[in-house]
Amino acid sequence: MKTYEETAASALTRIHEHQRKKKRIVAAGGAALAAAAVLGIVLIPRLGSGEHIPQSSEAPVSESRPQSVTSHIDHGKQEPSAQPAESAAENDLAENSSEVQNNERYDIYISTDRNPSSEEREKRTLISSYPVNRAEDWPVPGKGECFLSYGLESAIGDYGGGYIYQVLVEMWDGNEPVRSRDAMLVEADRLYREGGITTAVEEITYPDGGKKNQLYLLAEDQQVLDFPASDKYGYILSLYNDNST
Amino acid sequence: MDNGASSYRRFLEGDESGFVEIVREYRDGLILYIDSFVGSISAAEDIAEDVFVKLGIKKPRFSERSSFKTWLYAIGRRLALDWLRKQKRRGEIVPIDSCAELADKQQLEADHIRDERNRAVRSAMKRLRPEYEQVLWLIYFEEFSCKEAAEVMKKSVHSVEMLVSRARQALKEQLSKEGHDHENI
Repeated sequence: MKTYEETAASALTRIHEHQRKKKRIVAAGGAALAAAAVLGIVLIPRLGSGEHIPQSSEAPVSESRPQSVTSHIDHGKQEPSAQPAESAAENDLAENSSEVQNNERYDIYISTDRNPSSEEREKRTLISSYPVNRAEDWPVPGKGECFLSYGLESAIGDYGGGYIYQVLVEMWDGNEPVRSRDAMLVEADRLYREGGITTAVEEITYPDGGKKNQLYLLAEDQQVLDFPASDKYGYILSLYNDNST
Repeated sequence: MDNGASSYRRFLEGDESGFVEIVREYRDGLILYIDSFVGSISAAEDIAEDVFVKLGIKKPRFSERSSFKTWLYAIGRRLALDWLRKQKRRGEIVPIDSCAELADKQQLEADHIRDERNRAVRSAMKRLRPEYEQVLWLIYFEEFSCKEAAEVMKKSVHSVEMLVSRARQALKEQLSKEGHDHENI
């Protein structure tokens, strides 16, 4: 077994490496945005599914790594429900395992080229729902804290990498949920810059004319697990269609 | 040291010796807790290191000690469950500790649990259901309140209270079976 000093040194090396990588992502993101501006390219992921098609959608940033989502969702290709999270050998995991009722998975196409007219696209499956048969009973997250919903945690545990997760971000400022569109746009921009995560803020219009803004992400599993929480807010992340209203 | 709070503050200000102090204070308990999920002390050691890496990357802010420790254990639990899921998905069998690793584990427990009676309790706990072992570890050895344990285990406080009650009963029976005193459990 390592000594305490060896464990700390190994962890610090990895932390430094992550920070270096993050700087590279931010630099690459800045260069990509500059290139997009020069080309006059506006990439807006207009996403929605099932009964949750947003009235309008806006993407302050729309890059995820060198690829970008160019918003093609094939609703006709919904796959059969995914396998439920299987029981594990260990009781706690078994309890957390979820009984999948109606997962929502769609094929989306991710452009592998900066030119939106390019034919080069990669098909990925979008995960936007993973209902679980247990109540969410989260405390209000403190500043800098980030909780994942059981559904999201179970979906990532079950599917893992290679998928795109559509994740709704609830922001909390103390005991109050953040509802301001401006605050969400600032946060969306920060998440893109710091985590390289594709983000969007959308405005939902209800039949009675009431409106609501919500921030969501299109992210890979590791981007969700490494969610760069800021010290300004607490966060609860859940799958888009498990929590969207 | 004030339960890691000043060390963590120093680390946030850029003093990495604060980070080493946090590792020194929390690593062993965290490894033993994670081991109760993954059943491999070497995997638990790696996962505990991942927890400290996450702490260094995310740099969450805490106002009090309990939420700092709660955060570490909640992340430890989550990473342990992720690890188990990955093993299962890949069809890999959880590695069995080698003799050297078992010796490491015994040494770690001996270092972390000085009191002989507590060692007997710990030994009996390992024969209980993993969930009982985990909640008892948090409450008795890491001195979490039920509310903090609930945050770590992602359960309601009421569920944790019920779980502790059942786990305590099971522990008494186990201690009794092994011929140990179970007063004050």
